[in-house]
Amino acid sequence: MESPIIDLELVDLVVAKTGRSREAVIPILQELQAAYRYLPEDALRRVCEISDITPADIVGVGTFYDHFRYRPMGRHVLRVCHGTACHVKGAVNLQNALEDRLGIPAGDDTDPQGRYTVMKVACLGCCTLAPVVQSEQKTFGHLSPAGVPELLEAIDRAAAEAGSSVGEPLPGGSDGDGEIRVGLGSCCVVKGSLDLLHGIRTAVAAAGLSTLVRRVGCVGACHRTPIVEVLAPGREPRLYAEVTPDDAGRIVADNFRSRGFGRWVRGMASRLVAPLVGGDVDADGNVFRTDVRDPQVAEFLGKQVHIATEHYGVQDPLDLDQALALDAFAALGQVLSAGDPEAVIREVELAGLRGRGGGGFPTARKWALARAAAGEHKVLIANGDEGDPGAFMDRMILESYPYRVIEGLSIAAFAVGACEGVFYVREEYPLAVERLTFALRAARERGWLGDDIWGSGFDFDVRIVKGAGAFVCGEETALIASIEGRRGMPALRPPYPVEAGLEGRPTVVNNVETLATLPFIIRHGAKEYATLGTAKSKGTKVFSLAGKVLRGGLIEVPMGITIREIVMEIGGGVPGGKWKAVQVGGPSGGCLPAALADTPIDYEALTETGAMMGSGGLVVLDEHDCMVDMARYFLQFTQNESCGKCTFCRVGTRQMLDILTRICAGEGRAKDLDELEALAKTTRDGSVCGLGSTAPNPVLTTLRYFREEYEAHLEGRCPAGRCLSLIKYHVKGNCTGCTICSQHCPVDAIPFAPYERHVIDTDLCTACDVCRGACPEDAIEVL
Amino acid sequence: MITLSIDGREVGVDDGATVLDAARRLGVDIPTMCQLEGLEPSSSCLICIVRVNGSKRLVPSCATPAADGMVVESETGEIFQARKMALELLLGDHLGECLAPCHRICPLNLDIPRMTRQVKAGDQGRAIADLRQAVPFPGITGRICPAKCEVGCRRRDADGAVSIRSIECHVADTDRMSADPYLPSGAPESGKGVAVVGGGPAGLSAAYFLRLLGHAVTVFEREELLGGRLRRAHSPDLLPPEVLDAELAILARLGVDLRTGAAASLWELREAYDVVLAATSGLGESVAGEGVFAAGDAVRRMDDPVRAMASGKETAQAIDAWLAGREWAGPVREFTTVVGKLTEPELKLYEQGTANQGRDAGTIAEEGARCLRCDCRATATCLLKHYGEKFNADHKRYKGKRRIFTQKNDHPFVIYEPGKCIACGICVAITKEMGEELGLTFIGRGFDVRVGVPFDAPLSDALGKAAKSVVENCPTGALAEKRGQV
Repeated sequence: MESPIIDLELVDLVVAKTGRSREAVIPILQELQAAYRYLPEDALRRVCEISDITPADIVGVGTFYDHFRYRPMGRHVLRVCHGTACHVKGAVNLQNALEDRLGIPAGDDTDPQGRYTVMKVACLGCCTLAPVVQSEQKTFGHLSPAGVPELLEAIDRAAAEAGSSVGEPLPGGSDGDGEIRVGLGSCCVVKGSLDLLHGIRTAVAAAGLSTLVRRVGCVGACHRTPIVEVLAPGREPRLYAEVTPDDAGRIVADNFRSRGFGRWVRGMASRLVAPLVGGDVDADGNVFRTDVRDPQVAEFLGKQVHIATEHYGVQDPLDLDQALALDAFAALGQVLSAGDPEAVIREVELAGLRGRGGGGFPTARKWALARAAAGEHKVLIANGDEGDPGAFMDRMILESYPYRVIEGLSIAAFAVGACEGVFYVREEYPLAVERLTFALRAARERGWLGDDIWGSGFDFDVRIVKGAGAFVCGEETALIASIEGRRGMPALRPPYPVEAGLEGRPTVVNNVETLATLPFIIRHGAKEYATLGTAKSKGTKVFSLAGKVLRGGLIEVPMGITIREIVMEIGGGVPGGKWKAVQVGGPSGGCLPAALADTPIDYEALTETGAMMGSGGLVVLDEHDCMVDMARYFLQFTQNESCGKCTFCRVGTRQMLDILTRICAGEGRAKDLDELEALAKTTRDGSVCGLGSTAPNPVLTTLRYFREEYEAHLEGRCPAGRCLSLIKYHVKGNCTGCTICSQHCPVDAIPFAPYERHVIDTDLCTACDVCRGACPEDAIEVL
Repeated sequence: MITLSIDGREVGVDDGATVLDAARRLGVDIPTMCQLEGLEPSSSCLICIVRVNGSKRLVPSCATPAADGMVVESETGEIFQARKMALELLLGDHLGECLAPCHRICPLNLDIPRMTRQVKAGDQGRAIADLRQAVPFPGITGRICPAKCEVGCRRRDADGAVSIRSIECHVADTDRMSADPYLPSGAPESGKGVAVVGGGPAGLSAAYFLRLLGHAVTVFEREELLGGRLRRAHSPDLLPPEVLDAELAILARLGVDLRTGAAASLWELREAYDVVLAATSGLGESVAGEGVFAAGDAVRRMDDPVRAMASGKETAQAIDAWLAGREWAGPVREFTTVVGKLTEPELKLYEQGTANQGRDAGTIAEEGARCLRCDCRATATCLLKHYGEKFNADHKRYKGKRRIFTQKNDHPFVIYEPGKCIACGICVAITKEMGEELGLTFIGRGFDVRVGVPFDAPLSDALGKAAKSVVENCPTGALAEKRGQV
């Protein structure tokens, strides 16, 4: 592809806007890439000419982060999610099928005509919709290799439509006509809830109603999205799940009487045709109605305790008036009027709150160290760089409860004595950034941020910094380096950030979920909070529950609950399969066998198993999931995300990955397992930062609990039927000879033989799984 | 003042000192590669890890501040293994060879690339001196050596191997025919006497090296003429008898006592000499015991006379060690990493900047100039090699898929080979500190991270005043002076 001639005036405008300082390098690169869709060298050289940024900086920083690219992108960009849930649901086959279909050469990401760029992304955080592909800000879920042609058509259609924002505040209605709540988390939006929202608004307007149509944040029951709750005057609240935009009119008609006779008649008419009524689960998964007493929903919600996600399904993420009515900023007001930061620290200590980012360091102790540190100017950073594949708690919290997180950040800042706040949020979370931006402005306008907040003498304001695609930046010292416009390399501690962090100032980095918990602790008191949980792990933990589980979604559970309760009761068990393991804690965690299902959710108990709490991904695995492949999957992730500093992490993870890849390919050697274990242990003990020291956990836990699977691979078998080199596709006797598989096979490995039992040429077969997905008779099996 | 203990010994250091500083004060030798006095520690190579206060985690001593009462472990077996693993991981990802394949293959361990450079530079004096150090009779081997080195020569896959044997022969003949042929100086007289039984290639090679090592040597040969197989196995065209005689004459010049046509009983010799070396197959008696050694055909049949000479050379070293009461653990081959076959485009890179004419096309100096310089320029200073030897590291333990060989050769006197980089960042820090306008930077992340010039500009644009300093401080041969060590 020829590089287009570029307009360098744009560079001057961007630099004028962001400033010429070294720290501005990442925002500058982000703006340039947004404009040019890649980073042309001429533009980078121009930046160096007109700013303090050196060529070494701009190249060094730019090439560190995944989002920056140096050659033009195709006209359409497809981001294939390779998060844990997507991986276990076939993301690799999906990506291969896309690349095949689009004629993208091996080793490249764009077709020669420059039409499509297919990129791999670590995790889009839509785990319950796995596998997913994102294109032009739109996400497509539940995909399969066989459905690739339809997906491409849908992407072309989406590109033709103008993107509509989901962040703008909605016009309110009067309360007299009741309320309709539409869930608008990212997952819901994927399933069309934005169209649904517009549909309901249109239907309400058409019916002449003044019903308040409220957008609410994530309901958590992602497996049933989109979800609509209707509060009609004088009636029990009704919950509709898995609603399509076409149902909007019927939902309105079903619950509200139109104004005016003609409209009423129309309403009646639509009620008559409405097929919505009927309480029980629709086995086909089609549109159906349910209410809050529905056993499924009751089970899903029964064991949950909502603290960080308080007012789920009720609160409009951006409506500050509603939020205030629901006690937002009450806790901040409380601590500001008491004026005793030490008391706040004592309260949080009493509550036993520990960092929810994964490490579990006591929050109050971190604050106390920073408070005691020398220096007037202190900083509080909200860590929203949730990069674990299989985790989307922080995204959901930021999207659904921005005011709560801002309030928590302000409380923490007050306790520490910080005057500067930073939200560090992944760029992959555009909706979170958009809502946070809006919420910060609204909070500032009402005096909850800024100088001398409510006359307390406390000055605090917050800015947003967007990440640029580097998992390691979730590590606090790397995160600080990234905010400072450097390569996101973790630093050896001490000194700890609480002594010398952002620009050398005492800095506290708290996770988003930790911050979202603070208002509750202050309002309800440490005692009430500490009644939940175990001896050392108090309160609740938010998890994203995904994988081979009936009811996936976002859940908040009290500490101490067992994994079994989460999977079997909240998640409803493993559909049509045998529960084999659960992956806890993402790439830093481990795979725990179902036999350890009674392990409680507790920092120490989980660490003892060899896994760890991590940030909260819970991916359920069944007998079709290969544990060696899981270890390889996570190693591939961490290996790719290593900053590249320490030898053990940079080269050691690569060596482990090589060994695991070899084993998965059936080329393992007898001494591989010992070497793997030795590498894993030394990498764990010798790496400088948390990424390197926890990266071996998936390997160590699978070796510990599933060693026989490794041994089977050494003998040339993959018991789960997952590792492509060790499996064969086979047509069973119930084949009707319909030729659909033959037509779908991208490598012509199935001869076209109508009315005969088909045969797969295993020499040609690439195990892409298209035939199995396409077969209407379920006649293709994996051996 | 801070007091801490390292491996059970107490040491006091000033505030701000690192654990490494404290260890050095104590004389505890902690290996380091990425650390450079005066620069912020990058703590990347992790070869300096220690255990602090019994913690499970190992920490880099170069970046860990010493603290009062700290208990540090450094010299434990477990830490040694962890350091060795770090080293082996770096070696596993190292694209570069300490020794060129020709050198590595040579049974007599001749530093062939160095010889080609000496020839190229017209430095006959050094060429013959070095050659004589490694090879006993270069005028003979220069004619009859099977020249495995030329099979290993990287240039073979391009336009033909460098004619190494011709170069050797040229150096030897030039010397032999000069007015004042070179005579190597040996070690001081040891006062020990060695009897060598058998005047073939193994025995004569052993005699040559034993003499250089300072021992009094007597050779016993049954035949009237020395040379054994050397005299029988080659046509006079290939190895004219006068050349053979002239080459073997060096033994007499060195003061070796040569007794031809002399039968010898090993038992008697054993009484008369400190050591007896059996270097022939036709002994007719078997003798073993203290002070009796064997080489060449006495060990097993060696048709290749160069193998026999190598056997003689190694046995000479073994005898020397035994006479001095030193442990002998076999011939010491220099530590080296190995790259394996290069692809065509990779070879092209090497070829650039060398003479391009075909085999045997020009003068000997021109032939020498055809050497691709695939040996490392920094073998004397490279820390990977240094510690590789010291830790007895296995460079193949973690061999993964190898990287693609690249070279940046556009600077007047610096060459950059990214495959040898350990990503320590010393050069990046130096160019920044010295205010280079372009300088060097890290490019990429993780396993793929490499040091490079921004915008892939020429190295000459990146390295001005900092050029000398980055070469001097590069812990490996990644950034090296083009000329290298001679």
